[in-house]
Amino acid sequence: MFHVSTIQHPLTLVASPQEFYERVHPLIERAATNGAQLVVLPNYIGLMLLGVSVRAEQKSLALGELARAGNFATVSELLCTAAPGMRDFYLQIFSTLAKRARVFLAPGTVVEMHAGRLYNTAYLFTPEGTVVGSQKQTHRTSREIAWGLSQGEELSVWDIGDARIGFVVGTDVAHPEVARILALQNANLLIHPAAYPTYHDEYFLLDLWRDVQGNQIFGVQSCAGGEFRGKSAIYAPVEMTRAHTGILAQATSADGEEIIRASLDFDALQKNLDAYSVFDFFNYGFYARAFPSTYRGRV
Amino acid sequence: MALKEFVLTTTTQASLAYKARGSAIRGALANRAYPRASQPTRDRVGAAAVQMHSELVDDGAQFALKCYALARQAVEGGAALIVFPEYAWLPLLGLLPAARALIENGFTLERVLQEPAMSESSAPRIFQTLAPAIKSILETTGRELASRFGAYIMIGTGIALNSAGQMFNTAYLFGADGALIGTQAKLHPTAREMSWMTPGEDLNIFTLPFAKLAMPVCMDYSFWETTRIAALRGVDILLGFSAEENANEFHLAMRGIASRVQESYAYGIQACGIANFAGLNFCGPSYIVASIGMRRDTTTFLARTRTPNVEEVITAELDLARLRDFRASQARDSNLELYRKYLPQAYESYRARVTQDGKRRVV
Repeated sequence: MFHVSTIQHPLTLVASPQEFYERVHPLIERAATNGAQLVVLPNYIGLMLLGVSVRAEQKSLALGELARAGNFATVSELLCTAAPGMRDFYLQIFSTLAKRARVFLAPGTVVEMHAGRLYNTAYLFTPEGTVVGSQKQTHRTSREIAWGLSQGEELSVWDIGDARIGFVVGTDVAHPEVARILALQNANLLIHPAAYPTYHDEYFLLDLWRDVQGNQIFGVQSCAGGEFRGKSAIYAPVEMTRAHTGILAQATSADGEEIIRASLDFDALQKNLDAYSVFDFFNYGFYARAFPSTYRGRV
Repeated sequence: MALKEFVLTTTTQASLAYKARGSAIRGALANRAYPRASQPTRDRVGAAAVQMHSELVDDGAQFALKCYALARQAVEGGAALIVFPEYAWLPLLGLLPAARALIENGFTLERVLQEPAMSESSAPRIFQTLAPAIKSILETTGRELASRFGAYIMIGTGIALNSAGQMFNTAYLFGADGALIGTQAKLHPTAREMSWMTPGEDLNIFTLPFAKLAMPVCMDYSFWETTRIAALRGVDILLGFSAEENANEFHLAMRGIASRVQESYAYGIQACGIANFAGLNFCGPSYIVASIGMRRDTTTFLARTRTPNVEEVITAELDLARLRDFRASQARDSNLELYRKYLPQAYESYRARVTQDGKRRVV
């Protein structure tokens, strides 16, 4: 069994790296104490550190207001200026926390500069505090485009023991190509750092649940709370869950702080696939004829 | 071919052709009331999903009359676009007297298809024998009902044969003038269908005066690839139809068209067949769905049948103007470099790995 925890956490600005550390440390520690081997945090958690660069009164992550408060012409300018410092703090703090808690840590995302471009990037740390890998978000919302974020152009899978992890970062979840490419690369666990603006009961149709069912693997979704919405959850193929919901564990509220945990049985996952694998029914010829040419006419 | 087999085959085919004859279907459908469907516009169309209960029939005329009653309900409910279920042809197993007798004596479909009492001896051969009659009955019924009601009708799926004898699970769409607009062969067979069905090669898009339609078949909706291609080709309405035993399990059913409309920004119409014979337990519910966020009430469901196992016709108005506005307000990013890098190569790498290992391994 592989024990995972996902932390639902409100995103608000912090005034110092110390404050950030004190906000996330107890949660990660508590998840580890309860047996978690992998702990997942929400999308954009690194943006909380913007408050360190821009000394503003506000606690909200409304970036337009923050840019104005800091006398930046645009959000993009704000992010370009703050990104190097945010990334440094983010990497230092979460490396330390992974090492202290002795867990694999997927601490959401941080906005970073790479080769002169801005990306929203998820990181994965080992229990020794080293970076296993990072995944740039590959699709953007219109707001993220306005912020000046660029698209990642690679999708990677990392082995951490029984788990083979792929990231579905933020709005990548709206693009089933991402989870499919990761599953075809043999990912068996998708991690989805999320920060949804709204939520209601049918939102599982929009979130990681859909990708988990379509690819018959496990999924861990960590949602931002506070001014964001969404229920953090740990998903499995419907056949593997009680009442065939596809939900192993789920937050009770759509905005409060919570830690959710579940145990993933990869042998049972394999048995489930041995009994029925939807990938056995691929129409390879159809995909080969349609991809990528169908995209070319439309994008 | 042995003489006995030749005689049996010839007799069976003659009997089927007689029971499927168009004149009998047209005669049965004549002199009935045909309220005219309200004509769709570029901004709105009334749609219906027919949750049809399969019962064995003796001939094409009986089948057509059943479809007439359901289509009439749909038109009277405001529909100009009517969707029947997958395997709508199942009642036509009753055209084979031996099959009917076995089914009525409690045999499962699998047993019926293997039973020596049948003049043919395997599922593929029996389906091949039945296919021309099924095609003829579906085409005549679809054409007649569409033109008489002035509605667009997807009459369900039948078995289509090509010149090489390959069989396809194929849907038929008729225009309001009764003309066959086009067909769609199922692209992804289920395990049960693997023994006889050849998968289709492409997804067709049908450009109608009011919207673009596609009609992937049942299992095709388990694959986002199908509807992504439809969406990239501009589809507005996805016609869905199924014959499934687990459709009444909510989350299991939500893996299909309800998931796909979220990715596609399109309407979806899901018509389920109900069957409780020959060991089949196909059920609903049927529903009509929109992408979440398209409407003020935030739910994806525009209409749902009240029960999973009772014949029912549901209707809903599809607001195509609202769909266009929604799409304009929700412009999505895409990443051609990423797709070019991985698609379709990732499928081929996976296929090579599975071919080597024999099965998908995730541990």
